[in-house]
Amino acid sequence: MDAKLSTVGFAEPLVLAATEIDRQSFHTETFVPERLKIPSIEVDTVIQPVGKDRYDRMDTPAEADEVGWYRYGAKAGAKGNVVLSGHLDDLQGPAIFANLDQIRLGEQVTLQRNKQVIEYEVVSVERYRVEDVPLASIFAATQSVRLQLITCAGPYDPEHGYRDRIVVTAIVKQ
Amino acid sequence: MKKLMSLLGTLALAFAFILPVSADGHENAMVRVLHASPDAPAVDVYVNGEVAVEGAEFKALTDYLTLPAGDYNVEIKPAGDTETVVVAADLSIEAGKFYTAAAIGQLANIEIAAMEDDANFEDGKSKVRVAHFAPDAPAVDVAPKGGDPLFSNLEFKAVSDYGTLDAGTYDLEVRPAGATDVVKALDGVALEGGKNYTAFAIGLLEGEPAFEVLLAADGGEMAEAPETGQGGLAQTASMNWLLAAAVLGAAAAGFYVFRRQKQDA
Repeated sequence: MDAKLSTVGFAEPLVLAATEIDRQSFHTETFVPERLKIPSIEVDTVIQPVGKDRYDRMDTPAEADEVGWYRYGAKAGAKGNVVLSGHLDDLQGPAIFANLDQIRLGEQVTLQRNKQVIEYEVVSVERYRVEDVPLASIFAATQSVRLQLITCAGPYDPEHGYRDRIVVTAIVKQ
Repeated sequence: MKKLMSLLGTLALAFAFILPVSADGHENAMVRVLHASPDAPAVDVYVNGEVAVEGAEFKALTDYLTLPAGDYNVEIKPAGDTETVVVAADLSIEAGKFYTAAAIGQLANIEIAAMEDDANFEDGKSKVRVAHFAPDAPAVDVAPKGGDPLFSNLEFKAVSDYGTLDAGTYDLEVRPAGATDVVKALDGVALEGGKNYTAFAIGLLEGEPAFEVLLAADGGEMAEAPETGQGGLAQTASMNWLLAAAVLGAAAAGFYVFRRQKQDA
């Protein structure tokens, strides 16, 4: 396997200063997301918390029209990676993220829980061989307030599944 | 082993579970890079001759990079200059571990400091450490405002052990070791439970870029890429063909039975 190294981005660490930070906002602005809306590809669905499966992969919900939120990652609006996985298809046909690769830079992705809403803006749409997915950029700590949407792509092999993954990265709108 | 693998493969197929493609998925290490050399130019970072970070300026901290565990040669070159090596180091990284490699010191004495980051988290607690990467600063203590030091007598190039604090918001200060005057006040430092942090003291006390402290969350709960398809889209074409074949087959069989019945009659 001759994995081409993908260049890594920057993490924007917090500069500590002698100025008061709004302490209220620190605890109230983040939430476990329950609803995902991506108007440009007509996604409006329920989010289920997921962990890892027995192969140590991030899990996906049983329902093909729902999306999984990685509960070891960041909450909506929080510093770090909010990671969402959704099916490309099930055995019958297209699933919730069938059109994820159609999303364009600058388009809006919204996470909601009741009246709490956080909006993100798409900054990259990448396709990787599954073995080349930059896992640490998706799952490890970062100082950015980021959202990662993942689905399958490419040729399908019954033994190994889909060859590729689509990774859409969005950053919080200021 | 090969036999076992192919057996497992068959089982996986039978249960319609899909195994991760990369059997070495758990063999990755995670590495990030900090530019903490105050007078060094923007740099590119090469890992075994391949560019991994482009255009990192002083104060830049990258996200973690996923690399298979093993031995690496890390080279730092001026941004866009593939020839000049500013500094290089060999780095040995272990599977499942997180590391920070920092370019530290003035350009004339630049070196790479590598440290392992703690990715074991405690609910409701924050593990914090301090890295002293400000070349002209004396040994320092880091303490709550007016309180006893949490981290004592850290000299340039020193990285403290992690200390465990309750999650919350802290007013901290950096002081010359053993003294009470304040080099830098750090107010409202918010530490989330279940996260670990490194505070990097960088820059120059005398001159520019000025002394400051960066706070970064360390580690993370890694996973393999999710399995997000069952082949319904990819197989639509062949399924249709199979269905057509089945229908034709059934029709032919029906015709045959029909013929036989007629003959029998």
